[in-house]
Amino acid sequence: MSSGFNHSRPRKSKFILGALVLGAVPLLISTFAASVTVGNGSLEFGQGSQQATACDSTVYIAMGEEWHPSPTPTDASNGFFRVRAVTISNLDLTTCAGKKLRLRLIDGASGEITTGPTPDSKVLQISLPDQAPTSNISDPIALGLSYLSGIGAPISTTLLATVSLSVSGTAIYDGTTLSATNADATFYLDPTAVTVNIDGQSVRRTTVETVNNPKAPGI
Amino acid sequence: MFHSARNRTIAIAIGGLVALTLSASFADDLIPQDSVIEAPTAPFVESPAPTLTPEETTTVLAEGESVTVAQEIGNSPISTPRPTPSATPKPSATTDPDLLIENETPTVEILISPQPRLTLHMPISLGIDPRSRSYLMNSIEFWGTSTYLACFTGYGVGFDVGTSGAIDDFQNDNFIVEGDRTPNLKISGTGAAIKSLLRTPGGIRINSASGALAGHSLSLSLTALTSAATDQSYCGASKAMSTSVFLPLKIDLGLVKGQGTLKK
Repeated sequence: MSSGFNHSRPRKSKFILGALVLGAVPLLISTFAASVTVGNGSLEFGQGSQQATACDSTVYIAMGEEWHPSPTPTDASNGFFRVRAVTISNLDLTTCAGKKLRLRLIDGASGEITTGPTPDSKVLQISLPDQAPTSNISDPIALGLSYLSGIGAPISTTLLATVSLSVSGTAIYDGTTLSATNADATFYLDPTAVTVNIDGQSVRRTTVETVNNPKAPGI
Repeated sequence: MFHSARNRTIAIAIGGLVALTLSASFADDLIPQDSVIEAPTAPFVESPAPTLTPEETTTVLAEGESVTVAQEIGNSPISTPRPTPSATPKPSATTDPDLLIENETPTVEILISPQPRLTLHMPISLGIDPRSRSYLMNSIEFWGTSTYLACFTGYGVGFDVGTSGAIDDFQNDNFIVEGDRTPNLKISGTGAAIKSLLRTPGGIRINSASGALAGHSLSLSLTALTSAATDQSYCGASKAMSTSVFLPLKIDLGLVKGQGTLKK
């Protein structure tokens, strides 16, 4: 009897200890998980999709807004801040040479925002030069500025937007000195502010795409 | 014997659990508060909505509404009042040269009371790259022909106006900039002059004191004055005030494989 008793107590103690250790596992995990995030917030940004960017994984976005008056009979000061321009900053024009660059704006309901004169104008696209430029380019034709539909189909319509590709001056994003490896591509949605007036408050997400479409040999 | 061993075991186990719980709490505390960036691993997830109302912050000071502070400043070390033709002399005997006491200087009212009608617009939220530590701000709009004191206050941010990276404090009879590259920037002058400075290519750049800008905020108040001055008390006299919060945009970076043409 006593022998059995002597054996059951240590087993019971071991069982209690085992249960406590198992119970502590979630605490240990939560502790380590919380510790891992220290100082790591911004680094996790873009995880998943960022790795898919072929030519430049460290581009930034800066959105510029300006007041757009929209007076009403009862409020002459009514209006909103429209999106004047969107800048893709820190572009490396040497590694992205020849690529197409696309920009989309997404609203809070995950819908693509119309960025051109027709409702299906959802994408703004330019073609980056084959050679990294040595001076700023603001010719929309030279940069192949165009509108695309949501699925990337070209849209033939009046071009209201303008664009500038800047390799000198200061970056809109952070004020650093621009260069061919730290360039700004700025899309001005509608400098006349007549047709395309997007309320800046409605933009919740931006999408930047590079299109890898190498020329076939001999073409 | 067995009881004491068991009690010791249980006591040690409970002590361990308490220690683990405490360490988890400490780890939570260690997470930096400015890490509000969300990792957009799931596509098309809405950004957190700002807590403020979805309209631009607008403050209109009704005509005839009076402000509670109307100070006279004579020898302020911060700002020197400059009597101008539009300045209203103090209607008291001190303006009469015959009655001036020796060493007493004439004073003028700088603060307009009641404040004229003034409309100020700033976006309630500023969409920024979540990694951004600096932002070039152009979205400030106000109307008025008076002389103003614009008081910028940063919450976790500082202001850099004019030449980027340089302290552009200056002062003349009609225009004063004080506190450049600090969280408390004051610009005083005509509305046109203030707008001109804010809209130069350098404009006003907002820099985070530490970490990303997202989650930080700034406020701007405008006070109508009779002449340029930057006394801090005038900032508090303003009733035209707006606040903007930096809201992180979600950003996707992607690669699209285009169609290739095969050579026959």
